[in-house]
Amino acid sequence: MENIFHFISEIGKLKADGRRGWKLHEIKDPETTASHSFQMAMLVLILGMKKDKDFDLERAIKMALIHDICEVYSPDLTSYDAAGIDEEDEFTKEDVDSLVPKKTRPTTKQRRKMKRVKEELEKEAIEKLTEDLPAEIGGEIREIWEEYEKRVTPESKFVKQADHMINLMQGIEYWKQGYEEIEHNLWIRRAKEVFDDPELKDFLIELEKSLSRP
Amino acid sequence: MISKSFNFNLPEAKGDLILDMNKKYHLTEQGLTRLKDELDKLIEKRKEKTKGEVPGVLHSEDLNPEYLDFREKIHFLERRIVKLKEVIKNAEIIEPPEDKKEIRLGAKILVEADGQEDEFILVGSLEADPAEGKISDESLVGKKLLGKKTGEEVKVSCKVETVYKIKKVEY
Repeated sequence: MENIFHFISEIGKLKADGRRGWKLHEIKDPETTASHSFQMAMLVLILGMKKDKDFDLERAIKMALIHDICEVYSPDLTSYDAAGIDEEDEFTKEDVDSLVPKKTRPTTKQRRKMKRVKEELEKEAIEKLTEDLPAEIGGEIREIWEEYEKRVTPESKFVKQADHMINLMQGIEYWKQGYEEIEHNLWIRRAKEVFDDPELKDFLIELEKSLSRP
Repeated sequence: MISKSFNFNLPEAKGDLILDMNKKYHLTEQGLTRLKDELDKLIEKRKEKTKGEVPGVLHSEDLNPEYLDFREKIHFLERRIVKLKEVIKNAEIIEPPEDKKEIRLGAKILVEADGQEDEFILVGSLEADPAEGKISDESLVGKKLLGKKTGEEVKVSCKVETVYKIKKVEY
């Protein structure tokens, strides 16, 4: 039980730190990774209940809870960090610390470079985080996390889009609170390129409607 | 409680899936290879999980929870394997259209939106990976771009309107 206690204790760190993307926007008391994961798991649960029996809802909820736990040890890299990558130069994990984020939309080339390095760092982190857990439990967590990263299964595709949706919702929430630097229009534009899940597309329409509400 | 042999019947994975055996899946060559690799890995994983000791069905007089957990995991793998086999069997490789300026699945598109250029590859939902620049034809933007040609514009709107200028299409 000592190793499980240690794991849960480490995961608790995700309740403490505000997410980097919001810190870059100088948001006061920014949302933490833990609160992001909770709201996202709820979205996965509720919209997942509308899906047909081919969809493995339990797997999707586990994925939502697991998807960001690597951030206990890995850097919380954002699309602003991706926008700071030099398109022509090689980008490796050694370059992460010296990366200067830019508050613009990254290009596809920059996104690809960031994806590779982020995956590498997060894989190392998830291995470190789960290595002392009982083999069966640690193995399952790594397996679900890898499935999420590969985005081949319907569950992982849906959970990734739900992750994007919760970020968008939170960004719009901050924009409504007066953080006008958040380029919500740009984010909504990206969302319309990303979401192909029927439920999430409907949810996006509701979110857009909420822009004009007081 | 551990039994020495693999002693239960696999669940009827097919019966749990809603499969449309006539459905065609439009994939790029690369996308099909990726799915085939995934299938090989899943088959390998199933082999690993079912070799060696497998939990027994009963623990005292009750169903063994370890057995139920094991069965559930195998069931998940089976469902994925059946589904992937179906997709691969019914896959159709996307061929470029006669009119190369027209956006169809597999097109590499250079667009300009809000004064910024970006590049996408339009793919089916199964292959979509926006972080890799592969956007789905079922996304709000993908749907609008499908069938359009170089030089045309599409508007994607609700409360927020974005105009995408199609600058280049290639295959």
